[in-house]
Amino acid sequence: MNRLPYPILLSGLALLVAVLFVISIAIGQVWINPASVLLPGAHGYGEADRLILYEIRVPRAVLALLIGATLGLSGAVLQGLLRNPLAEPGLLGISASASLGAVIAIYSGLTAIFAYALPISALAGALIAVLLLRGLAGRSADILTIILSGVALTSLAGALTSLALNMSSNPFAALEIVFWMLGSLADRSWVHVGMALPFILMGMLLLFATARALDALSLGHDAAQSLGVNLQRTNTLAILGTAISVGAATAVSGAIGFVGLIVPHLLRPCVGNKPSRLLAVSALGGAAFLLLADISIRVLLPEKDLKLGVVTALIGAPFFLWLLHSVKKRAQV
Amino acid sequence: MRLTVSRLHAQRSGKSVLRDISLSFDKPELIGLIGPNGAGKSTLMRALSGLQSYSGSIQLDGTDLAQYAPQALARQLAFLPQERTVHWALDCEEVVMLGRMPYQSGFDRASVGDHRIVERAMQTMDVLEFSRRSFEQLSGGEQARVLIARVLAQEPDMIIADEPINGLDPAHQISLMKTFRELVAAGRTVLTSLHDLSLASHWCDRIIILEHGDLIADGAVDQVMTPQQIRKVYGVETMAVSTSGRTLIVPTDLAE
Repeated sequence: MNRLPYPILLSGLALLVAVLFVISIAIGQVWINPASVLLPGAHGYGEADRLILYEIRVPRAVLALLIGATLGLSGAVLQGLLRNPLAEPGLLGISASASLGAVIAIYSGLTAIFAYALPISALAGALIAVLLLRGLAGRSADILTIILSGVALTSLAGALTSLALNMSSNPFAALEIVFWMLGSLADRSWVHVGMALPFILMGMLLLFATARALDALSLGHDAAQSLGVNLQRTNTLAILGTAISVGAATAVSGAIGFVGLIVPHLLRPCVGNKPSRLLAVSALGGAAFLLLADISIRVLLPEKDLKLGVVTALIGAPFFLWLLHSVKKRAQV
Repeated sequence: MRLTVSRLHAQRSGKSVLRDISLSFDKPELIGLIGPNGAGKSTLMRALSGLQSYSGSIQLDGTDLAQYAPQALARQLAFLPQERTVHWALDCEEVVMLGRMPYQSGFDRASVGDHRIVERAMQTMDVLEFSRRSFEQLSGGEQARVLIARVLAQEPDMIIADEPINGLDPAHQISLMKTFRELVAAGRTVLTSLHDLSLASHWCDRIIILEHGDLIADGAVDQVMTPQQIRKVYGVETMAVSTSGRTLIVPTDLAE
């Protein structure tokens, strides 16, 4: 089979992200011509357009890009680490636990005192989830145990999130519950970008550092270690990287599921199944996927404020079932 | 290269699996590690490869194994686990290239030299034609050869292989033992665990017998693999067959 050369694949995906980014800032309740945005000195859009663009559309698109990249990358790393295509921060309960952390920070009043309390608390939620998963699954890392633990964690974190919101004197509790469990990028601003960006970048850096170890891990624990890979270090990098980046992403968008599952799986054949090469393409692919999902909710049901997580779950859940089925079938061969 | 084991003890999940093992490997030879199931063969090989915690001492060229940086150790000792899975459908060339990891750092890409070594390793194992084929599509015997090529690409002084002939047909078993002999002729030490007494007796220079975590015997084939010894350890009667100047030990029946 002829594969696209890696640099071309990377540039192609980067181009796709750029195009979707431009479309994302052009589309909405009013259409703003991308050309008038991109070309310097071009006129034809007024003060209102400028405000919509810079205060609403651009931060939203930037967040879609960053969060999509985070979810795609962390999915690829978790799959490489656990050597299983079914791993993903959403399914494993990491996103839901981060949501819980964020909600606790907001409704305990912590965020009023200290703005970064929001991402840090979400990060702590994510970290607890990853550590719990590792503890529960142990060294053997049987994927069924991990996924069932993820299911339990997701339910528990969801229930606690609802409880926290119901207990608070918040008249919009019902709406907020939906936001934290399904995720959305509506009405996000530069403040959110500023809050998430440093953590997302730091987390992604840690995740990228696992690349070579993930390649070696495809031969199994013992072989990887005998090739000089420090598994302890790899585990720590993956755990901290996932917690920091997914925690920060969830703090501003709520829990968005399935991106980390779908994107690496679709792109894996394009890089010859090599875990290290999957990382950068999954980050770009995740960014493209989330930008596209966010565009589609504005195009399909512009009046209804459809949640982003609804779209990713609508695509992702059937995909997960199909993947589960095909993995099982392959194991039987 | 000189690997010295003295007074080695090891535990697995709280149970003592190796007791007071002392051994030394210091010249190119093919060593067969035999013993019944649960004798501690895998644990010993994992300890020698730096994968298993132990008490006592294992020294490589006079330095404690634990003192070695993992990569430096990997340039001298290669371990071939019994598990023959590659978790993602990598191309065979990529699988073998993993053997070059101990020589690369950070985000290094494979050098021309790395590619040459990988090609030679694949040639040695007769799997060069599978370079661009997915590991998944190969037969069990072909997969085993690709994984051994990975170990060769590591260019170690010593290869430690955990039951490498398991699940191979007789032709592939013999061809693997022949490859091991060639590696020894090229100056490497090969330690392999085996269940097949005939292959062990026919191809190995030296036999180490473990039983219930104790070292029972260590020496040349004809000194160690005596009918009495095999009967005691395995509970089977054996027959010795002479062929092309070597002795072949063949199990015949359960001992009385």
